[in-house]
Amino acid sequence: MEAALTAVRALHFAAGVVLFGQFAYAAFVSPGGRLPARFAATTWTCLALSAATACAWLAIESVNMSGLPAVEALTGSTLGTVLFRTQFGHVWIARAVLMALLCIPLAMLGGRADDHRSGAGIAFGGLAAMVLLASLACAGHAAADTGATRYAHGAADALHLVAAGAWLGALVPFTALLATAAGDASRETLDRARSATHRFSILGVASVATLAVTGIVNTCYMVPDLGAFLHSRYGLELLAKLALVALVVALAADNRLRLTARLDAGAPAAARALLRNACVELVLGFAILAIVGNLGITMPPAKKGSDTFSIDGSATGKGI
Amino acid sequence: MRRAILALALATLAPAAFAHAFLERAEPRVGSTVAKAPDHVTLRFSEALEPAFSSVEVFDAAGKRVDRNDRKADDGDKAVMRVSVPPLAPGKYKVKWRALSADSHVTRGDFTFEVGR
Repeated sequence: MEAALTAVRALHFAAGVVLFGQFAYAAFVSPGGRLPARFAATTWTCLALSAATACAWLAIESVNMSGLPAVEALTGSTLGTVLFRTQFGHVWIARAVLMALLCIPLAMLGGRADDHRSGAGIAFGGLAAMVLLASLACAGHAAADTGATRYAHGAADALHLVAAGAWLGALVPFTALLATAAGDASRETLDRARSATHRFSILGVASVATLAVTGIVNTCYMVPDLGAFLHSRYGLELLAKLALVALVVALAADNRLRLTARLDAGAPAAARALLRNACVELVLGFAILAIVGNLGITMPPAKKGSDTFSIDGSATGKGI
Repeated sequence: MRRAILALALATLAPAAFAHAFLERAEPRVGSTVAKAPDHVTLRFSEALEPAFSSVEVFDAAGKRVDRNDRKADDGDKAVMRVSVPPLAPGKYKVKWRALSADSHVTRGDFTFEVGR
């Protein structure tokens, strides 16, 4: 069940990131604010994948929450209880409404890649896709906090998701543009690649800064004890994620500090090098999402003194 | 102003989340012997609970369920769950709980307490 939930969560995160990234690219990266190539096919596919994985996630949670066999957990009664009587269910209903709303801008935008009137659709769709992604914070670890902590942790989590979505999501159409530029050395194509590279670089720096700050805040909430953290499965997974993030940031720095300057100087080979780096970043980025898929269901290390109980365990302490 | 912002930041950053609801305190206390039979068994957890899928049950030494099956969450505190019990005869009792935290993680546990003669 854990493997299935990890896979479903990772796919759901990936679909949400790529969906939001299409809008982030159109708003902040694309030369002339044009929609990326294959916008309609990509966004509709991601929306369908988001809906399908949301349903699968709900089904798995219904089994998990109720503790019943799948045959009984997947009845209308149990699913109704999950949807209408738990916070997870309320969040899922709100997110289903958002997915339905997203159909409006997607239908408006269609395949009109160069339509100047698409600005409103990009703004509306981008906002809905951003909230759809950010709302996953309401189903994560922050959801169980209480008081002011709940809002501060939730906000940091939501911002972390949006920053990751903007960067990794926009990287998908940016990589497609680089692939075009690497295979077509015409002046116009290279100019578009140069312009997009500069804009993507700014988006990347803003995203990395946001990811760093919100990542530190999240870690403060989830890791109360460094010793326990280093000896926990949660800690090892988080360290693996940080190692992959460090590699992605190193590649991004190489793009910004070395390859962008070479592209500006008119070297077509720079587009190919940028494409190579972008492809590696994409692979690493989706590997990070796979880790995130499992981190959300892995128990963080407990604080000192709270080890008298365990999952499925009995109380051993006295006087609690 | 800066001090106020710093104080707010520290106040909200201080408590850490554990993502799973752990039993922090029970009344009667875990493993204790109480002189007077309790009216309720009250459990406080480390996280907010989902009442729809959380439970607490009390069994006597023979394994017979003795609570009134009226488990409810505290209206003002989502981390608290209680169940009432009829007048309990002296002896050992086992409390079994299942907690679903608001981030949909499940934890289970049990403990005993004793009503003295």
